[in-house]
Amino acid sequence: MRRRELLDVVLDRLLPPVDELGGAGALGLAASLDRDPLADAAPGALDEVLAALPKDFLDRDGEDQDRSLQQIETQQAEAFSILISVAYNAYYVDPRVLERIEGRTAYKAGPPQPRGYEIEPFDETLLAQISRREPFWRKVDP
Amino acid sequence: MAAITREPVDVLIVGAGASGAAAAWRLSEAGLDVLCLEQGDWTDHARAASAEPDWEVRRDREWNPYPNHRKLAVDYPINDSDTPILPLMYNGVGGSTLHWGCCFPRLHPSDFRVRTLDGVADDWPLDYFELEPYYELNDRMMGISGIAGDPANPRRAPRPLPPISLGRGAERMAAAFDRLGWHWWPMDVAVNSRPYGDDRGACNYCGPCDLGCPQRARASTDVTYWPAALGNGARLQTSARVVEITLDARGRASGAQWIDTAGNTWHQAARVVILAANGVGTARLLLLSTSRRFPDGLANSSGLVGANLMHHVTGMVTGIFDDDLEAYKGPFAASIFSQEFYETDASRGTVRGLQLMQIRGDGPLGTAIGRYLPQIPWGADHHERLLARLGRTAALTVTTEDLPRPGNRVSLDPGLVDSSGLPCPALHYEIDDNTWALLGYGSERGQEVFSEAGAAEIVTQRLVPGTGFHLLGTAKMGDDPATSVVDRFGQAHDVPNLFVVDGSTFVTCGAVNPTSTIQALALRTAEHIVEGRRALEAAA
Repeated sequence: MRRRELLDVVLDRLLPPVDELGGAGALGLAASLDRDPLADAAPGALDEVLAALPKDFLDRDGEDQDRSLQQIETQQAEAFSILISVAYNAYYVDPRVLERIEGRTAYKAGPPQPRGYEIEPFDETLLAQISRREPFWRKVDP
Repeated sequence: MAAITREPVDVLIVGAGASGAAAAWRLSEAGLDVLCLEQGDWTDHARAASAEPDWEVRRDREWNPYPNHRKLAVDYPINDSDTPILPLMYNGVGGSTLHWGCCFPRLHPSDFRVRTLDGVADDWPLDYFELEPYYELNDRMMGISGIAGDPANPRRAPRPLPPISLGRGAERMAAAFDRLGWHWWPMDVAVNSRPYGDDRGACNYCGPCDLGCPQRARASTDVTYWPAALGNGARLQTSARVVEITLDARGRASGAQWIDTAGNTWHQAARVVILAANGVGTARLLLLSTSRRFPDGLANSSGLVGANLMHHVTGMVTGIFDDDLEAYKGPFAASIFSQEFYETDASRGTVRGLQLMQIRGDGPLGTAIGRYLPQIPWGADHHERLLARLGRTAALTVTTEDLPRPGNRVSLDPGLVDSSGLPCPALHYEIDDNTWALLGYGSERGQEVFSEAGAAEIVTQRLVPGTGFHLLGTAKMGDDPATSVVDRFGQAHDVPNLFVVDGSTFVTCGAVNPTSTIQALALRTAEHIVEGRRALEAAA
């Protein structure tokens, strides 16, 4: 129970709420972290980060929590980088996250196929200047 | 356990990738009985990773180009502890064309004459114009989008398909190249800008060509050459891992021993054997094929099997712009290139040159995790910083000439075995001073053009380790058996009915992506075998 609670709070600090979207912890992404093959390949990495948190981590304010995490990021860089990778992996495949990005950009949430994108067709007038250049490839005697 | 023997075929090909497919098509077109052995399997493009919601995560798992990370059973691990470059490849019908950027430039005429022109390495035993008809034929078979008229290269036929759309980023960069007075041109790419062939659709600009293409617009050889070759009667045996090339009493290739996934051992007899397993796999197989006649590996009397490994060492300069370029739209590596600095210029203090080639941007996860740029930091500013980068980047790869050095090589590591228990390759590679200087020069030119284009921030990586896509030079072509492994047609000097058609035969590698040259050479070798059919029949 405490592990999950800790992970939720850590995730909310790493990828905090934005606009109407909750933080990564509030989105319920903690459960998928342990299923990431990266976490499998480095067993114990997530727990190493959690074990390094101060005992009163949950009681601290956000800025204090960030400072604790920054300290671990420096001192236990390898384990922390695994945490970041699995957190980003979980966050950026979540449809709610991608829909928010779609609302702010031309990026389309969902897989690239089969929808794809529309792009302006190739404009041959772009070649106007370079087309006037004489061939300059290096000639070679037969 | 005794091998199960199979009736002999005219030609046995090992490897179903770029070159094996091209050779299989040409040989079967001429009526030869062709069988190809491939350790991987077919890919179902309808179920491509690019059609899955977690496509960006899959890019780092089963679709990661680095076999040591991917760890699929069909892959073999590679000891790369003695090289700064990660070797990248894919095993399956289509080989690494299942996983590529689809760039299709050609070597320059000067690339075939570097000894004569610049006093380095060796000249090739053929020239550009001998290869040109095969380049053209290959362009038609693969379906190339582009536009003729590039002043940096010899004239070529009208491209089979018009250019792929450039998108905002490349248009911005093209204008900057123009203002600097530097060459640029749309890259010839093996991606359909319009439907092509019987069942290949047009690109819909989804982005990740490396994750499979349900439109079949991306020209991997499983959708180009293989359907035609199979239609001609060629046969393709998948999940077949070749153990060694076997010899007859006269020292000629008699076929190949291979194992299936159940562990059964087979022997496939053949009148001609062609190796098409890439510059690492072919060298490995030759080194594994030892005998009393060839104790140091098959066709290795020169001692050059495995030597002269070339990669095209690559750097990258990325511009981050204030305005939205929508850089995630479009095939990631199909864009524009510059060969302004392709040739030797004594004032630079280097020999040979480099190519700058633009690539497009990443999706949200690739942007956040920093595949080619620093990672977006976690915390309060994360979301704002992500949006400030997503779709707002353009990158130029700096691809340099990578001159051959005997010490850069593939050897066997008996302590490392694949899932079948076969010894795996070990790579030994050092970047020489010339290459390093070219990377520096190219990076500076990349910075200059991004500055001209108005990039708000420019990030330079002089060396990108994860770019060992090009595996070249390890069974060098030449006229002299003492200084080369195969002749001008890819025919082994030591074993007359053994041919190599992959990038192993490259004498030098120029500064361009090699696939079009690999396939043109494979077609030329196949043509040579067809022309020598009478000799083949006599051998039978």
